[in-house]
Amino acid sequence: MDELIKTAVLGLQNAGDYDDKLVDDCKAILQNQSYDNDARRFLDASALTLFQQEYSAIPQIDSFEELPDIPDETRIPMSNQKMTEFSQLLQKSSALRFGLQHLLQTGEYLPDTHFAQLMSEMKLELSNRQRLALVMSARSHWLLTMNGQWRAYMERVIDVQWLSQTDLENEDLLVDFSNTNVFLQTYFLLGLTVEQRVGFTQKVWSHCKVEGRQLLLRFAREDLKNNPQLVEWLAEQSQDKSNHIKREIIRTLVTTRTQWADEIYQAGVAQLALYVEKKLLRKIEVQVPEELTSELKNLAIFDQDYLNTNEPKPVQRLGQLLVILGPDNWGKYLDCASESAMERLLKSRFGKELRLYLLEAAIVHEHHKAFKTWCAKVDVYASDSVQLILERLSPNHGARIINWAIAEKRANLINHSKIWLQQSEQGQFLTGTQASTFFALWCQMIAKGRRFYPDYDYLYALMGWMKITQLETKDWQALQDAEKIDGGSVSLMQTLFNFSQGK
Amino acid sequence: MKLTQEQVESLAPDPGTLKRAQKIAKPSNYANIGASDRAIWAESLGSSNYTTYIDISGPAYKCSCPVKKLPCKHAMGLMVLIANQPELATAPEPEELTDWLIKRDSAAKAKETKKSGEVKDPKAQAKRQEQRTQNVEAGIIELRKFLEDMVRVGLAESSKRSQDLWQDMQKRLVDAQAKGLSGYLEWIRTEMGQGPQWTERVFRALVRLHAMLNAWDNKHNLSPAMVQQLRERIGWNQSKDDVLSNPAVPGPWFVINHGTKYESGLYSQTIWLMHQQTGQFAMALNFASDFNPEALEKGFQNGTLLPIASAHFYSQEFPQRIILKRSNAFEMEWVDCWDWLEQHSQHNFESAAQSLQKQRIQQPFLEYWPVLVKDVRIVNKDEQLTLADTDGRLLKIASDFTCQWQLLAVVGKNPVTMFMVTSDCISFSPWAVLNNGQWLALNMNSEL
Repeated sequence: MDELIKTAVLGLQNAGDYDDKLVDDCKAILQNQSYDNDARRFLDASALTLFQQEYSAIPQIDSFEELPDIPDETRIPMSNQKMTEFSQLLQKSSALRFGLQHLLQTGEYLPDTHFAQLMSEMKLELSNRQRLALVMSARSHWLLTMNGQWRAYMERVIDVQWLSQTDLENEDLLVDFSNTNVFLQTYFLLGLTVEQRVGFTQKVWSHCKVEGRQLLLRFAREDLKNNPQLVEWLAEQSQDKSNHIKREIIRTLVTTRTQWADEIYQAGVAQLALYVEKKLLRKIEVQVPEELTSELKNLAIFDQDYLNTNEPKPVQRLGQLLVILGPDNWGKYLDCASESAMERLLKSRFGKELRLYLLEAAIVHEHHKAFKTWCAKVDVYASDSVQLILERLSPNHGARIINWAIAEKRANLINHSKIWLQQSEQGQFLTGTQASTFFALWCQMIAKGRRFYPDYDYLYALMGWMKITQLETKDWQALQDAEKIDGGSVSLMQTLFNFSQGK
Repeated sequence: MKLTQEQVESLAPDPGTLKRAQKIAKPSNYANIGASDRAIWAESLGSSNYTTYIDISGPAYKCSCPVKKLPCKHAMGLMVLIANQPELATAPEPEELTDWLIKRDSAAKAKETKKSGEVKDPKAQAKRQEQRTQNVEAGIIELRKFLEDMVRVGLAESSKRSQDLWQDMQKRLVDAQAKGLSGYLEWIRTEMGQGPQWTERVFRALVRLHAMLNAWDNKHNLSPAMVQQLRERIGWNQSKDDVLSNPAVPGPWFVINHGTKYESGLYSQTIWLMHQQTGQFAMALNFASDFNPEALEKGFQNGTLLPIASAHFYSQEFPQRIILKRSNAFEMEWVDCWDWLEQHSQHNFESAAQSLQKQRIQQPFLEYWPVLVKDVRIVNKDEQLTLADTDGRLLKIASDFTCQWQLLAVVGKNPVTMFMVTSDCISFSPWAVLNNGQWLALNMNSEL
């Protein structure tokens, strides 16, 4: 057959005689036919040969190698109860992300039956597959060792020990990982030293895409304090080709109170003076930049609606400028306290349009008083914007802002499943008094039925973040009494989180 | 009637609608909820109120909301709610719904009557058929020349040929009303120069096509059933009504695997089934345009039984392709005991090969032949994943099978009962396995 294929590939014009490649039976049949067409004769000969081969094909006994043995489990086995819970999670692909992340954190492995079920219909999106690889049941470890391509990429990630100092020095390996956000996140969960984290960030930075660099910046924020070398290095990266990253670097650096930050402040205040004018009786006159000048661009202000405010571009420009400067500098410029400056800006001509940027400024600069003032003066449902703000800040920073929001009884600022999921994934859970206070606020909010209905994604994220079993069941009862959650969700949550119904 | 979440989810026209439906699936969003063995109904409450009816025998949906794509979120939400809280269905059946169901029944009866009616003008029809046969014959002569020319210049040279040449030939076949042959040629064109072993794949396809044309030339010596098979491959479609007039084979039918592919504005859905009692394989093939994807069959769960579905085979003599009729899209059963499946399985590759050859001699013009084999393991042969039976016989995995790693993940090192299809009886695509009492079907449309 191979010879006939060769003849077909070369073409009858170029190949030699093929008769000697035919079996005798086939030759005999062809001899009894008359052909006026060489191509048709060849195709007939090929058909006879092909069908003879295919129709008589009986699989042969042959030597082979067994696949390697599946290694022993090194992670913790799941309890029977949890296995049942996980079975239910598998039926809701939207909840898988949480489930897999949970296993990653607890060190449990995915039993074979569940692993096979997950892989069979392949409902998993790529990021979940990566999580699955990290969860690493022995079966998934084994699977990866079967495939050279995957192995080269992931074999070293089988458990947390992969990130040893030696690995950190292996630039090729880091480059391989650097475009995988799940790996980046996992790296920062490992509890390594500041030096290790900084070393890692510097090594992989240039290999990361925008999302990856954004993630590295989030974690770098925590390490900037008392680390002038990192500040200096980050300043060197401030001419990043992505405007988004450029803005994030400048915003990260201005909170360091270094000389570099002072220069930014001075340039920023000079710009602010062009648009915000002090008037008598604590009033201010605000105008917005009609053009995106080079001075504004130097402050990493660009026409990107990164908060999805849908406000006009001039407003967005002034908003971004205010965020860079922060409440303390507004106060200095307006000769008043920061919270008073916040109030004046909120009351100004563009106060309504600027309010989300003012909130962002209070959050980014961790200005508690300004935040409180904002909460007291603005009662809007801003959790979409807060989610976008927090996803660029470090997990600890996010946790502090969340605590402030709870203290101000502003659950509607943090009522967002992505916020909860992000926090859980970074190991920041809501526990104790904070949790019960938030849960009570959340129940009230549900009872009012404002703007949202808790779907599965939302509930899983909430339950995971709050470790719901620690809650008082009276809160739970209040929630059910409000009859805003359907029976299916209630029973699923109860099973999933072993949460007994009202006492 | 007992609805499950899985059943409801399998009816969703798209993930977005399902998600929106889950959001509104709560008692406070519906009023006058009711259900019977035939239908589900309710008033959907929201910024506007709508009347929502579901005829579960279709299933068919009627909702007064403006959304054209059915089932809409109101119908889906109602089904989700009933699946979670069936006790809510207490309202009596509204008159409007009764009228709608009666109308649907009458329309179905009228269609049945129309089906059994006679052809209006048999002479004109015969003339049309004669003309079509002549057109096809002319197309086949041109196709023969095209294939022979390919062989003369060689596959290597042909793969560099302009796309226009191929497209011209395909268009001429479409004009000659031989759409099946045009599709075959399209497959060969897309394989030319693509991926490893393309020359072997193209050569085999070319030779099979040539053999099919030879068979057509020899049609007067073939049985009518064989000629019918050939006609279908060439492009004579049987009308749905004709197929439905063939005797129904009642279930239970087991859903082996199903998947939908999208290519150039067309959805094609393949559903592999097996009769629980006889072990007969069947394949439903459905198509839908870009504008009407909801025309595809919904409500299939791999690894479940359809107890009251019935199959109408396209051919009685050579049964494989079917139209599946389901009187209730929610009737499905999970399988607890798999003894029957084991009974229908081949014990080893030798008996599987014999069974396949038997099928193939009867139905030489099919695209795929299916087989179910017990105790199959995955082993390594020359750095390739290969299938092995208990006797140590080996089978190759098809080079175009894209789910090797997915297969490895679900099988591990266990011996499993494996459902496979082959187009040449030499290499196989394993699309589903029974492993430790779990039926695991691979996604026929994805790559790992």
